[in-house]
Parts: sequence; structure tokens; C-alpha cells
Amino acid sequence: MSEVNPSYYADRSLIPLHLALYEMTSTPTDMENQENSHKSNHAANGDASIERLEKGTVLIAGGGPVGLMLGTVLAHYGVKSIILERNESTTKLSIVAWRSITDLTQCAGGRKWTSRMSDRWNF
Amino acid sequence: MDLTNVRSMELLRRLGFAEEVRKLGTELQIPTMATLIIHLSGVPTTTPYNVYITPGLHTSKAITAWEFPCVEDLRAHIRDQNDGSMPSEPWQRISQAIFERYLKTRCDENPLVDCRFGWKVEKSVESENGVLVEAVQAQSGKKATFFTQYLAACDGASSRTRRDMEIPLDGGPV
Repeated sequence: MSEVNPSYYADRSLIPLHLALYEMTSTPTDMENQENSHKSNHAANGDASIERLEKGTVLIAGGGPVGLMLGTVLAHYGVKSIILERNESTTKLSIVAWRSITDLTQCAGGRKWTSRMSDRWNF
Repeated sequence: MDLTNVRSMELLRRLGFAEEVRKLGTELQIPTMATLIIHLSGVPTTTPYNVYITPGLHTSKAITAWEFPCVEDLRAHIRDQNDGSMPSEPWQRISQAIFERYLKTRCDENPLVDCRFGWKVEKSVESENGVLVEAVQAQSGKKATFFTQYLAACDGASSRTRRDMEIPLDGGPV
């Protein structure tokens, strides 16, 4: 019996993506090509069509300091990139630091001030 | 407080961003409704970059300290010891929130960078020709699949991409 790498299918959720990748990258014969042409651009999961990035474009997973920095560095050398970040905005100022500021400003109608400032400065 | 090290500052200098980042880290001015100006989170260039080791805030004395020069002293040291062994830029303390917001505006105004915030990379698998990446939009639940030659994992210490590519992490938890 051949040894199977136990980690290979440890994450079963990756299997559909493996299948889609296999379907995309394997070169079908002419007959298969005709048969499968109607579904060739579809991923295995549902109907989401695949966005093929231009040759040389880098997909960056994560828009933190590292991802944003990499995007600007690649652009500096004329390379296109797409940054995917799960959060809607960049990191906000820590709540501890912000609370100490709001405490200071409570006495002088600070609540209104802080909400205005947090809107403006993305805290 | 967040530190941008000398190598990162050198990189920022090459991009032409070093002076702006240093200014943002040194003094951030927030104008209030009156003419009052509050200096928030700025670290003067004369403040030493010392690190104090302490068991907690209840003690008045630190156990020990690592002593590092301030920006001005380090710049002078770099200038004096001009033998190629020194970095070309001193370090800079700057809040991650401020640094990221600055870089994001630089990315947004650059036509070569396409920032898609609110999109979470869910899975990725690679072959000899490229990588297939599945992402989901957090708000709408909409899914998107990308086929790309290069995927850069910049998603932190608990990287999902690293896990999918089965790249082990050196060392263990601290």
C-alpha cells in the first residue's frame, strides 16, 4: 500500500478549488474542449466566474503594513497588484489610547469633538 | 509604541516616503473646532528609543533597559561612522494606525495598485502555472475566484495562505 501524505487532504474545503484548478490548467483534447467549452470558465463552487489576472500582476493577501508596503514597492518597479483586505478600513487607533483622550475631553463638551475627530481621522 | 525599523525606513526613503512618514511620526497635529492644536502621538526626534523591562505598572523601577539613541543622535552616529556599516536612515516611531492610513492613500492614488478592502481571502491552491484564490466579500457574502501567477501572503502570523500552502512556521509560540 502506498503512503498517503496525511496533511494533503487535511483541509477538505480545499478539494473543490483543487478540482477547479485541475480543470483550468489541464489541456483538454479538441473533443473534450468542445464538450466542456460551456463550463470551462466556472469554478467548482457555484457560478462565480474566475477573474484571470494579467500576466505579472501580483495578488496580495492582506492589506496591513506589509501588504500596503508591498503594493507601493511593486508599483515603484512598474508591477501591477491587487490587494485583498478583509477589513473595510485600515487599522484604527487603539481603543485604550483613544479612551484616554476622550476622558480628557469629556469636561469640555468632548463627546461631540471626539466623534467628529474620529470620523475625520478614522479612529 | 510601534517602531518602523531602519531597513523599512531605507525602503521608504527609496520610494520617496521617508520624510513624510517621519513627519507623521514626529508630530501629528489635530486641529480642533477652536484654534487650539493638540499634538497627539508624536515622538520628538530628541526622545531616546529606550525599551524598559518591567513586571508591571505597580513598580516604580524597571528591571532593566535596552538603551537606544534618539533619531537625531542616530543620524549623527550614521554621519560620523561613514564606513558602510551603518543604515542610511534612522528608525522612526509611528502608530500603525497612522502609518497604514498614510500608505493606503499612497496606494489609492497609484493606478498600478488596486485596493479591494472588505474582501477576505478564504482559500488558495497552487499549480505549476499559477495560483487559484477564492475570496469572499465580508458584507455581501459575494464570492470571487482569481487565477494569478503570483500570490503574496501578507496576512499576518496566523496566515491562512501559509496554512493552505503548507509552509510551516519556524519556532513556536513565545
